[in-house]
Amino acid sequence: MRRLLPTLLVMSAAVRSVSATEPGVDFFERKIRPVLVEHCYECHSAVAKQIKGKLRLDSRPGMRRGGESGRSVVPGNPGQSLLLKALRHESLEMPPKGKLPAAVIGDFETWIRQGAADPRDRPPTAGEVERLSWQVLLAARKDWWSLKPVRATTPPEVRNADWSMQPIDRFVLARLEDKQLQPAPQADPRTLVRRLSLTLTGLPPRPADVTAFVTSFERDPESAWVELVDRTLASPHFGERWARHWMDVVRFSETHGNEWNYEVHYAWRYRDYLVRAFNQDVPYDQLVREHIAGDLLESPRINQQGRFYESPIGTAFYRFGEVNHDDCIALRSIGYDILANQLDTLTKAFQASTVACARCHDHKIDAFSTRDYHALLGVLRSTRLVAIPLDLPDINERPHVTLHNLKVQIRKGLARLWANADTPHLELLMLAAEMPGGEDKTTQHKGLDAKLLARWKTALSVKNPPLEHPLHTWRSIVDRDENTPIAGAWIKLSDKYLDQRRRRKRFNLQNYRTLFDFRDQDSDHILEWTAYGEGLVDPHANAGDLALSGSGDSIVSHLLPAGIHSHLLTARLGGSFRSPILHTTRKHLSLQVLGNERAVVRIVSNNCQLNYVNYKVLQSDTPTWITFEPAADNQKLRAYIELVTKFYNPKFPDQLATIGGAKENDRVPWDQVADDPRSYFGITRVMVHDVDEAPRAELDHLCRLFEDEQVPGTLRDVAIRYAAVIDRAVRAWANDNASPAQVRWVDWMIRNGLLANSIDADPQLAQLVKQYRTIAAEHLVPARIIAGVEDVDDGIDQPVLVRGNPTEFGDPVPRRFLEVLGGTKQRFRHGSGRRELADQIASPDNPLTARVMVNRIWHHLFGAGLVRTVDDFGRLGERPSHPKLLDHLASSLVDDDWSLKRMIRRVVLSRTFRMSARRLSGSTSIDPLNRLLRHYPARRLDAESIRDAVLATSGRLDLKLGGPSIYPFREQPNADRRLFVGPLDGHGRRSLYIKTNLMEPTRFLSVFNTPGGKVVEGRRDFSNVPAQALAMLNDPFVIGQAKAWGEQLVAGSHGDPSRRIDAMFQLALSRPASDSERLQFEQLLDRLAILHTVPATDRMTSQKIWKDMAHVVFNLKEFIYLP
Amino acid sequence: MASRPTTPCPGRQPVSLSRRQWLQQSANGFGAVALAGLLAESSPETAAAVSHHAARARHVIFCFMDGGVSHVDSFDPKPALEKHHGQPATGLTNPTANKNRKWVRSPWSFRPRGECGMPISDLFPHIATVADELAVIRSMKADLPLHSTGVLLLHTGSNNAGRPSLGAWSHYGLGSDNHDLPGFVVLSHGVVPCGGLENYSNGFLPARHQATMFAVDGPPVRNLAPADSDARVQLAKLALLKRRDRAFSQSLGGDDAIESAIRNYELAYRMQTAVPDVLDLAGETRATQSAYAVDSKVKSQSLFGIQCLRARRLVESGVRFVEITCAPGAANGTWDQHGNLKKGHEKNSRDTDQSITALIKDLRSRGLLDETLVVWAGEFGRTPHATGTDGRDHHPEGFTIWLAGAGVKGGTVYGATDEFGMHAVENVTTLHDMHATMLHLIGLDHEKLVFRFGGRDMSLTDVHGRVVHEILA
Repeated sequence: MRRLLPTLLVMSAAVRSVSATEPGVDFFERKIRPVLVEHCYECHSAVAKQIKGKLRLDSRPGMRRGGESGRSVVPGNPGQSLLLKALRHESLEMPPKGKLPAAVIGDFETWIRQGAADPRDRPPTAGEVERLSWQVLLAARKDWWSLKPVRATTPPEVRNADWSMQPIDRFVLARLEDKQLQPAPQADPRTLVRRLSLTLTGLPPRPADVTAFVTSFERDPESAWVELVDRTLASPHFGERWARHWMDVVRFSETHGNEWNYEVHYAWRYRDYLVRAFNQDVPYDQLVREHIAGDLLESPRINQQGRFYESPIGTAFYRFGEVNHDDCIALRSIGYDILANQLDTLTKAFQASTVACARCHDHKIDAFSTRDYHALLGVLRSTRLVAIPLDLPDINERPHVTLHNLKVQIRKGLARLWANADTPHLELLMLAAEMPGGEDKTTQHKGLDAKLLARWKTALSVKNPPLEHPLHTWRSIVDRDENTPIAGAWIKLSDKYLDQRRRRKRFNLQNYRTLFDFRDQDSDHILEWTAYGEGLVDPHANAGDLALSGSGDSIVSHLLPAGIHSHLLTARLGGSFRSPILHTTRKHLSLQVLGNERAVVRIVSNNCQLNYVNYKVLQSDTPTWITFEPAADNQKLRAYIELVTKFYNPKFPDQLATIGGAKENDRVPWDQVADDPRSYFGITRVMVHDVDEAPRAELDHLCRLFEDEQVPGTLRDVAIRYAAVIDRAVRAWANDNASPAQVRWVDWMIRNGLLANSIDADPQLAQLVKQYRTIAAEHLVPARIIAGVEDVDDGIDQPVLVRGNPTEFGDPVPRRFLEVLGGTKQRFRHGSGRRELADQIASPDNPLTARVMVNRIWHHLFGAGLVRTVDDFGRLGERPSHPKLLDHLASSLVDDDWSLKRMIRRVVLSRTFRMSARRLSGSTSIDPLNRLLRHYPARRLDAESIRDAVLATSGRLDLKLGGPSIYPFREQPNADRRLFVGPLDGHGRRSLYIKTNLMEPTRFLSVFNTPGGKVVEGRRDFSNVPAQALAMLNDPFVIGQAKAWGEQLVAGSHGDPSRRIDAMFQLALSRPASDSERLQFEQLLDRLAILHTVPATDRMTSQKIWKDMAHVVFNLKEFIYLP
Repeated sequence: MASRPTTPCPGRQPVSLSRRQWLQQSANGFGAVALAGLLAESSPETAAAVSHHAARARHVIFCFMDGGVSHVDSFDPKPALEKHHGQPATGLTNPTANKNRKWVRSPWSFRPRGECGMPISDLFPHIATVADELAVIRSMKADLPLHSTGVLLLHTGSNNAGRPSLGAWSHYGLGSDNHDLPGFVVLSHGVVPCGGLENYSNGFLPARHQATMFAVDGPPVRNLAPADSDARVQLAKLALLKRRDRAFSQSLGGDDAIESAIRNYELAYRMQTAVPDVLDLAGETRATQSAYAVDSKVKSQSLFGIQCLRARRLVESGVRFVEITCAPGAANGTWDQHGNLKKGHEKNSRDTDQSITALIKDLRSRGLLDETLVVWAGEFGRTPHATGTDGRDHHPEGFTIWLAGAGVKGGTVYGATDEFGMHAVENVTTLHDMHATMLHLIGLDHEKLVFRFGGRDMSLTDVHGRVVHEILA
């Protein structure tokens, strides 16, 4: 808009200067120009690829001159104006798509007769036409029912006022009465209780509840119903049912599909969040805010019982859907496709609007421009996809403090042990060096530790160590040419060291620029990065800090270089560390990092979470340079560096061989790789450079060897020199004032086992270490994480991607909401703008939000929305069947503080909901689709309810709420695609808890149209195909449950077939069997007894027979129908 | 209902009754042996069932070479690769051409084949014997070098999921030749192709147009094997179910969906025996089985042979569109040889070459090739330069497919890539063009075969596509 407005102003200024007073200009602007723009400019203006018939209608001269056929407009003379003839289809037929309305053609005639006033002196440029066209289109398209404010309407008067006084019923009845139709009578109580239970909880009612309701219904139908409704709304299974509905809307999936089917981490936490939210009746506007910006709320919702944040879990909805793992630097469209899917979900879920159709061009039909699309795309590109830890900050406070204190004590203990024990480094070194294969006798004689000596020997045997290795000098002396005196060799080595030290320093100085340096704990760079997770709570280490071993015989694993480390306390915590957006012009980027156990360092470009480019698995606990090649336009790609421990890495578990340099790959289900939480990383600094190598190893630590000017003349002198350096380093470390160079020496000693580091070394230390390890392993609450989002830097305004081309950037569009809903009046100012976007969507003034949600509720309660296209309120969607009712409900939702439970209660308490489903004769011809709701629409249950009903009936349903999902059943695992084998019956859990897998839909459920999980599917397909019959007849799940039910029946107490059959009906269908049904089922029983050759006496105890009887009941259409 | 065949085909039993009549005549609706509308949605809606012009082909067999066969090793000889072998490939612009790529010559030699003399490499010695039946298009161009989008584009004309499959469009346009069989069958190895099962979906078309997957090994259709070992038990159950379901429908004042579901149970019942019958190869002679390599000791080759032979039987029985898929090979597509090109492609050729050739010859000898279009294509070709040392990368910029059979001018080579096989440069042909041509051959105009969805007339080729008349007889 910033760019559009001046253009329009220029154009209208031109209007004024030339002919502001000329009569007819106003008429032209109101009646003629919009028509020309909308219907003619495509072929007859600057935007046309080829001007048709050489006729231009985008300026006065062009209009008057005409084209190939002659003069188009002759002022004052409609008869001679070819334009008018063409519009009337008398000569040419224009516009070719169809004749314009007669009134419009009339306007043209009037306008020409009055002189064809036309202020357009010059033809506009193509850009001007495009912008002007959009303004004209927008003005016309704005006039659409769903974009107009919600109007709280009073219920209409009805003739049959006795039927119901409830507003909903009066809206429905009024429309029926218009057509001279009567509403169906009320359904019987058994139907009602079944209907209510299935729609509100997705489960059939228990027979006892049915009986109880029928009894109280007979006393007082009205209060019985209210009581039942309130009790059902309070059921914990209400939340499960409505969570599943919403999961369809946000394309919930627990894997990313595409080629490798990576996991969406902890997607089940989002599912449980929804269950809790619907059960607690969290207001809908709050849910909207939490979905769009749950990470940014000033006072996030807290789960007090679980001690974690609820609000950020909502943002997981951005993270579902298909995600490509390929190189998204080379293939730019990948990143934008993922964002397009997020944008599509966002706008369809909350606004039922197909804004994503405006990705490459203005929407073809609706009021959304490609600038609208890019305004929202800017919001999404100012957001990044991250794993969010949900725990409250104090969750591990006590163990944290204890661990910290213990570590201080352990360090003190070690200092004592190492510095005061007078370890004879010199003796050991000499023994190890001079007596290869030496005698233990001597060792014992001298009171030396044999193990230590052996380790010295191993250490000294290193072959050709590089210059920076502590033993390079030693080995060079030992391995020197025999004829060279030691002093001469030493001087040569000293010169070489000094020369190399200077050269390397100069090389590094000249060729590398520091981008980030974390060695100094006061470095601003640390503040510029974002740290998540408890391992990153206080992550700065000075040189020489300890990394303790989590298990095993040694106390210390290694010493840390100064920098940021996730495992300062324990590798069991972990987290992530992210840079701001990069903008380097250098070819390479090198990071000095360490890490292990599937921790990863990478550069994320264009929000591609699963990209394998610039991705490295960390496999060393010594600081190592890793070099990446960021995209040349890394800033355009919004590239940033990320270090993650494994649970924070979206590619974990990675089943692929060798990706990122991993040695092992995780080809097993999640729970098997997740049982060990240990994973850690560290980073010291980031350099950028053009030379093709990582910074060269610097040699400062060797300085100590050569600082004494005296030249050693013997090997003993050299050993003394080494021992002195070591002694000084260890003492300095013990006094907590070791330089980084000295730390390297101590670290080298530790890694080679040359310092006492065994738990047995000191009983007091052993006690401390044991305590430390127990607390780390048992007292820390493991991180609870969700795949969510966060803002990155200050955000960007997204340039229009011209015709959707990801490499062609046009003008930037400010981050804002949709223009048609007032977005251009107020651009977003804070970060990504998600918080502001959330407020504009969750606003009572937004005409779509409440309407869309009440319509979704209606859809689930009646099988079809008042607007049947629940995800599209635009022109491609259908119009509302009861527009005033829709508005009444929408305004009620807002008045009720966005309470969804109260809205659902309102609807199910209506007479309309309680009508019988029996179709009345004649209704098919007047209202074949029952849009007017003459009767309640009976329909097939959804997939989940069918499976749940089977389990509920067989007695195998486990009603436990929440938790990690169960893998769906399949015969063989396919580890390449992370398809693992789950139990046939899903452990009896509700279908909601079966893992939704983008790569392969759950077999039994998908036959009954579970959604695909890639795009919003607020309305499911309801196909009717033989595969469904085959599933109910032959699927091993159904057969297994029939067997289970049969076994229960046989073990039950019913004395005769008739009573057992009746009990089966009560359980499965919520009603007794009729006489004829009992008779028919008894006949089947007889027949089965013959076929299974079961004697009459054993009929009641034959599992075969009752398995078959149960199977028949499962196959009754009534069993899978919502009555 | 959909159009009926006017010309009886060899081996096909003409059906004289309408399905409804026939269902009514079968006692109880159950127990009949024929197979009715396998996965057909039993609603009163009918397919478009319109021919736009005289069809040359009545059936399509689509041999899907997933993963992407190397064009420069099969049908598109490039002497320049021989000459520049091992030299750095410079000036590359396509996204899969990372730095440090070297040209790699083909490990197979080319020679002229058939009377037409078209060059085919030794990779496909069998297909080479039917060179005179093939119209080879060497100038194919797809979109992205990604399996998932590539396979979707090949099957649905779109990089993104959600659109109907080519087979679904064909079935929608023409209905079925035989109401006892599904119109669109995918002979599957149980592999979910990249891009997912959406490749075979009906998209926004009615559900009955979706593919029916027949597995090659084990039970061909899930849940097809009756759970009741005694058929009489199942019949007893079904008889009661039908009575109760009718009554339930009546209690709701007559419900179309329940009536459809009742019919679905009737069809499902018959499918249990009829599908295995159609797919059972026991009636084929040993010579035929052997020609198709059904008796091969190599399991993957034998399974592919079974696919090809079943394809003929299905076509013979009137199925419109049969897709043959490859036995599993590389994880992202059988032909996806990023490494071990020679070994991998040779294995895949051994699995497929003989059987596809046998299929063409068998169709020809039965007079079915005149009415069956055979298409052989992958989602893209492979780079003329190497991934690593002995593999080739994804390559949509220029690759080869071929067509044979009804309406196709055999012995034709159409279009060309550049000297190295990098880019299609002459008569560039897109997958939309291929779709348009396939629809044309089965008598459908790709611009007229539309379905109104979301307020718009949707088509397979959208605004693209040109019938490649140059390869038509």
